Amino acid sequence: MEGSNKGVVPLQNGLEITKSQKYYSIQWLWQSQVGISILSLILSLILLLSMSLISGAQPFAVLASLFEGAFKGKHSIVSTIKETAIISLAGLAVLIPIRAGFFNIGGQGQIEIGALTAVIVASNLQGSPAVVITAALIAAMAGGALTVVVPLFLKIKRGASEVTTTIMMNLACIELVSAMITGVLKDPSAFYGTTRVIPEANRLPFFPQDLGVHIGVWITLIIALIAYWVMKRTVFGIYLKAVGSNREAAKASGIFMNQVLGVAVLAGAALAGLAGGIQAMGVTYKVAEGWSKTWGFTGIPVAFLGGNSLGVIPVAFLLAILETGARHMQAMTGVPSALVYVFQGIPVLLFVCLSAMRLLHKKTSGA
Amino acid sequence: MMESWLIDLLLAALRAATPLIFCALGILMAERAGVLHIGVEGVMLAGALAAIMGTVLGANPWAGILSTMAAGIIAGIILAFISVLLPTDQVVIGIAFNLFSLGVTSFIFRILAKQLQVLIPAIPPLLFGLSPFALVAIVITLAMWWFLFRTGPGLKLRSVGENTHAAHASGINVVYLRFAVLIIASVLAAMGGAALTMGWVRNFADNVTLGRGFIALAAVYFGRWNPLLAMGACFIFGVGEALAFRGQATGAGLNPHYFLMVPYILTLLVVGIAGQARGPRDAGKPYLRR
Amino acid sequence: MFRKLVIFFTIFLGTITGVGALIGMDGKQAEAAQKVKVGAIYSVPHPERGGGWDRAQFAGMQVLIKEYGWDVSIAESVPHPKVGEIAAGYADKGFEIVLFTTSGHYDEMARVAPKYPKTKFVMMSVVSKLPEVPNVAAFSPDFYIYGTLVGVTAAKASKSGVIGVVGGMPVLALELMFNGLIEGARTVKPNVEVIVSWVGNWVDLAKHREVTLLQARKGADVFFTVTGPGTIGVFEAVESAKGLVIGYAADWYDDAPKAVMTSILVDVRKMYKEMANAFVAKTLQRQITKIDAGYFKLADFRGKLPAGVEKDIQETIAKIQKGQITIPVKMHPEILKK
Repeated sequence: MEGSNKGVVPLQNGLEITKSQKYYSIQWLWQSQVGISILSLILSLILLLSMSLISGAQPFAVLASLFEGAFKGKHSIVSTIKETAIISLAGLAVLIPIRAGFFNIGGQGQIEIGALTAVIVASNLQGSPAVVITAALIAAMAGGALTVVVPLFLKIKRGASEVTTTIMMNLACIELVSAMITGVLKDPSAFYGTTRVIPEANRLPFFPQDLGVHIGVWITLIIALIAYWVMKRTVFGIYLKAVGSNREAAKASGIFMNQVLGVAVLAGAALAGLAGGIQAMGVTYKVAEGWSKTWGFTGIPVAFLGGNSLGVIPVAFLLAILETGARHMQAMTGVPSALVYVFQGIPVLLFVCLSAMRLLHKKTSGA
Repeated sequence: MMESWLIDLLLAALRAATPLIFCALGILMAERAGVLHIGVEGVMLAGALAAIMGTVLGANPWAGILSTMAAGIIAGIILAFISVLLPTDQVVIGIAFNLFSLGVTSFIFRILAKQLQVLIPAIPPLLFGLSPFALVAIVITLAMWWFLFRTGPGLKLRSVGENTHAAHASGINVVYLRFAVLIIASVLAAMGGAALTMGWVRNFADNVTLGRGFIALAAVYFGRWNPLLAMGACFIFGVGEALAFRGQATGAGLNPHYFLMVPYILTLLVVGIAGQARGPRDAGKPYLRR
Repeated sequence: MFRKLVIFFTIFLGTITGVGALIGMDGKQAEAAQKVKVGAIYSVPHPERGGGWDRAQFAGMQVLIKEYGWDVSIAESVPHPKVGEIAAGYADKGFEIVLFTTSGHYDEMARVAPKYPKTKFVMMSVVSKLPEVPNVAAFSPDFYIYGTLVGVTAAKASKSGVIGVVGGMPVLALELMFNGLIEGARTVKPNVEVIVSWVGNWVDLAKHREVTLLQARKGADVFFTVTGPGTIGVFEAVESAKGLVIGYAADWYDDAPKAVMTSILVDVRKMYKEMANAFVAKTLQRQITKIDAGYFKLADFRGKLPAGVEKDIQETIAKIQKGQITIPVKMHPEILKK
């Protein structure tokens, strides 16, 4: 295809691109994974701009503030980075169990419980900050893992579909956290449901100091690297793959199925709990009504689109841009806040559709 | 005094349960055919808005019903196209659709805010003090039970959920069937939304459904994919919701969030005790012809 | 292959940002000199049609836009924990004033104000204190007196002697208002029963409706509600129970003509004018400007009550506003229990 001279289209400065070369670029947009992400982003932006027009905002101002919100100024970039960290962890929380064949939809509940546990420990444990912080983070992981025990148990012993059980557990946990922060753990001086603020000493330290990036971000990066290494290079990783893709063969070859499944699921939930703990201790310093966004759910498409432990990071980055940018965009241009929701749902929808269309196209054209 | 309190409670429970019943029936039907209808919350919202729009702009409650059905059909077509025709993961699609619907309904409501910020005329109760929505819900439940378990087409539908490939081998066009089922399920979910706005609060607000679609999901699992049991589950959850309201008003002091946890904990208990052997096995897996 | 992708992506991103920023910045730059840039923060979506206080605030902001020609950006649906972030965002961008519309934002305001000494942070709602920095101010309505006006009106209009009060969440403003309401009602009918219920949020229509209905079951025939978008849920229940409701801060008649008896308006527009004038005259200092009963007004009853009763209410309200009748200040902490 490249280089063939099927119709030369002369342009202004004498530059010529062959028709077939143009065709090739468009083909690439359609056919590659990254091309599809870009395509869905472009389409989403077009939808966003049209909706902005309808509500009377200037489309370019909208676009500008969207990117400004994510990138302009140290404050925005740091926000985006912090957001990326938590979305990545949420993605890993779904990715690892799914490798073993367990669809962990309970991420949001695990995040919230993890956050609450971390806040309880960080606010009440006495000791040096290093000890307290480490203890809080471990507690967060334990909290998250605990939340998935019931669905895991039900799946192993009863064959219950985890789709059902994790959603139920999810919703129950969210309500439990709400109950706690409006009741037992409520800060008496606040009028809405919130815990007390974590004492300064026990918050996540920043590294580098003046940039405002808390160490949770680095922890996330390290974890992603570890996860990648485990999946690709250790025996456990191979077991995981076996259990996930072909249960019968795995059983036959003597791998302890339930153990592998259990470890993977608990690890995933622990990571979600950790995400909550990091967010609570590094960004919000408390758990309050409306403190969290739907990271647990965002983790699902991130896991799918990312594909592997390192792949979740760029996907998370993209979604983080959308998140920080969108709120800023709303505040600056006055477009209806509803647009922010649309902008969170549409890119994922479009991406999944386009990918699937491409998959279908490939299959039916015998590729 | 105690009696009227009880009747009051039951009526309130039924008011709360009616939107759930419609949604549960939709979810149930879809899952029996093997499609996970996680997007039910979004469809419910769309139906809720459509009901108010139709009633106000069409100046007629029937216009409201018609527009609800239209919204359900449109949402159903979109969801069916994405989850049945394309090999996508139904859970991801459902969740993304919910967000999308939340944004779009809030957006439309806002554009039309001036016209829609009124209480639509009340729909008088029909029989035994029950609203027409409640009555229709009960009738459809019975009809669905009869359809699924006593008719040929119902059997076909169930078989698709149980073993998709075998069903296909026996000549059933799985894709068409799932497509149609999802559209009907969406119309039902939209009616659930209408029962909430048109039949109960008589107005719309952003995110008026507040998670009821997921409670309906719990009811379906709680009721083991059986329409009659699911309706019962919805009613139980409705009682819980009504008690939560009363708890607050009478100053009973128990945090309402604990009440809200009940449907989910109950469902988990039921799944734990009875196991899930009878759920449609092939639910959620996209169907790709081999 | 990989290189192509990186190049494509960078060009795409860069072009959009560049173009967007250019066009976006261009417009604002020219007008920056004349217009004062104001950022306002709401926690509800679509404040123009939100709860009574949101509507009144929105009307106030229109004054800034239309009469003073200022450039007002409105952030909505901001969850309370994020309010500080948005406020900081506005200050970062060089906005001169950041407005907070509810007393619930006080903590966030106190957190952010010290970091941006060049920006004025103004609370347009009730406060009991101000942070220890010079760049803050507040316009604090006397919600207790407001409550007494409501109480007097409700008690005179009620035939059953039971008044239903529905609050969204126990904010300081509502606490003051409802306490005032009880005392005001008691000066009219010493045995009056006031039922106070808290929904626990500002938005759940169904819950607002059911809670109100329960009050009606207990005999309430006149109602008052302060909440967000859930207000219409309360109105629905009042209409179903054939009761009457007093609207909060804005004129609610058009929303539920059958149920709304009157509304007690708060002249938030005047509040905003005062704020704006103070800013322009550079007299906007660290102080709490009290907004007293003179800013409150009864809306048209539209014939909902017999003429004699209406006249009685209007005269009594006028007397209270002039200070001719004083209502004791007594707090009833038990109403805060959920």
